[in-house]
Amino acid sequence: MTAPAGDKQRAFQGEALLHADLLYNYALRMTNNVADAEDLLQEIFLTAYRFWDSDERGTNIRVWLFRMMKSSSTNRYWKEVRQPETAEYDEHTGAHALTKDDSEPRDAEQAIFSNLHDDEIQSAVASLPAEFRTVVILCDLEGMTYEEAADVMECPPGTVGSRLHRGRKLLRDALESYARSSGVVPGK
Amino acid sequence: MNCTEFQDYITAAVDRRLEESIMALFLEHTAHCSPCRRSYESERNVVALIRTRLHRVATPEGMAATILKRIALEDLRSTRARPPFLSRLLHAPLTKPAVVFALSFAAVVFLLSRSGSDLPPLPDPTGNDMISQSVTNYDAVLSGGIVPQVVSDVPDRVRAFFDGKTEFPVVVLVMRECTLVGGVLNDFHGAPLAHVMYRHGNQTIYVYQACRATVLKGEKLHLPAEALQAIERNGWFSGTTPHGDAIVVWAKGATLCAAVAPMKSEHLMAHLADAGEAGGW
Repeated sequence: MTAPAGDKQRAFQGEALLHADLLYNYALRMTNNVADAEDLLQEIFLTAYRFWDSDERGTNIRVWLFRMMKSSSTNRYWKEVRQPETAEYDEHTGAHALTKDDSEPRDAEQAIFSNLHDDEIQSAVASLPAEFRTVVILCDLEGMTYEEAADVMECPPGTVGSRLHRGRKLLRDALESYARSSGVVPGK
Repeated sequence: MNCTEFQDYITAAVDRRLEESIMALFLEHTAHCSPCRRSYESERNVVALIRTRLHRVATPEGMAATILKRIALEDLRSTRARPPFLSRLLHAPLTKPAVVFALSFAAVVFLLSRSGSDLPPLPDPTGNDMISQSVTNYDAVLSGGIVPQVVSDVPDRVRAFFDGKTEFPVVVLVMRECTLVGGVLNDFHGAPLAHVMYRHGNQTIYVYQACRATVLKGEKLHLPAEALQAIERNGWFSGTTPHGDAIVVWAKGATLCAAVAPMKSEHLMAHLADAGEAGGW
């Protein structure tokens, strides 16, 4: 038997709504659109309220909410930014494939990054393909463990690690590209 | 540790997930391999950048109030589905213990009388007419009376949940602009039933599924003759529920499906056809 409406609303407000900021920022970074993010946030909380008494909720409300948001918006809101033609992604990239990254000394790379504007960094994250963007946001920005992110993304923790590695590399390349186009680094 | 192994460990090292002994070997490798050390530092730089330069924005003002208002309306809607006297009765002090006792007694009687199926019964069987049951269950889905036992937008995961539990293959559709929400398994007088839910914007599409042979037999479950004849003739039957929602019934192999959604029949059929159902009408 479910709790009376008042108890349910209070419990929901206390345990679910406190994650509103986290979910809103996730929605914003995934949709790149304020109106879509607001719609999505409302939709998720309404759905979460409807299924508040479900066994699937478990004890980790944050992960449950993120998982619902990810699954709810996959068809409608995720905007795939077109990527330039690239070589096929290989999750097991070997050492030699990374030699391109080694051309910049450490100090120079930090200098590139520090001269980028915040909105350029935002745009670089927004340019990542959805699956890599998701894992970078969940782990690097929201501080989820691999296991929590795996629960949200419904994949093994090992896959989270692989996607993080690839996502961070793609992000690094995107940041360098922004730096070159804005003249922070001389174009090649 | 060689360079290939090092590259495989970079992300785990950045995230401090390596065991101490492996981390020691990892760091030792950085001491004598510049390219690998730069790869490691590059990934650390990216992570540091994200954490220090990407700022969280506050949820727009008024959003929390809007959400609370919507969930209050949600509760009001489901409360209005019950007569007021019933709401008062349900919240009366002695009601809960009385209900618990009654349910326990009913459960004992039920368990002693059931034929061996280990699936929970439907809460409110509306005769054994598949169409009536679909309509009643749809209302229960909307009001929260039926909640998913598996919540996932991954069709394979939902299929895996049903795997081996029914005598018919459970249909998990992939419809454009619709998101799979999850599924429920139960039974009606020992006949397994599968229920799969989807979202289309702010609408819910519900698909009730039963064993075709069981329904054709007409004992535990049945379909009105008109619907059976239409399915035989065209591959599908469509109608409108008392609430004005569309219902479409079709057969897919050993499975009989009934979809209910708050839209016109032709729109629902378009979604189903998009998923390649019922011979692609």
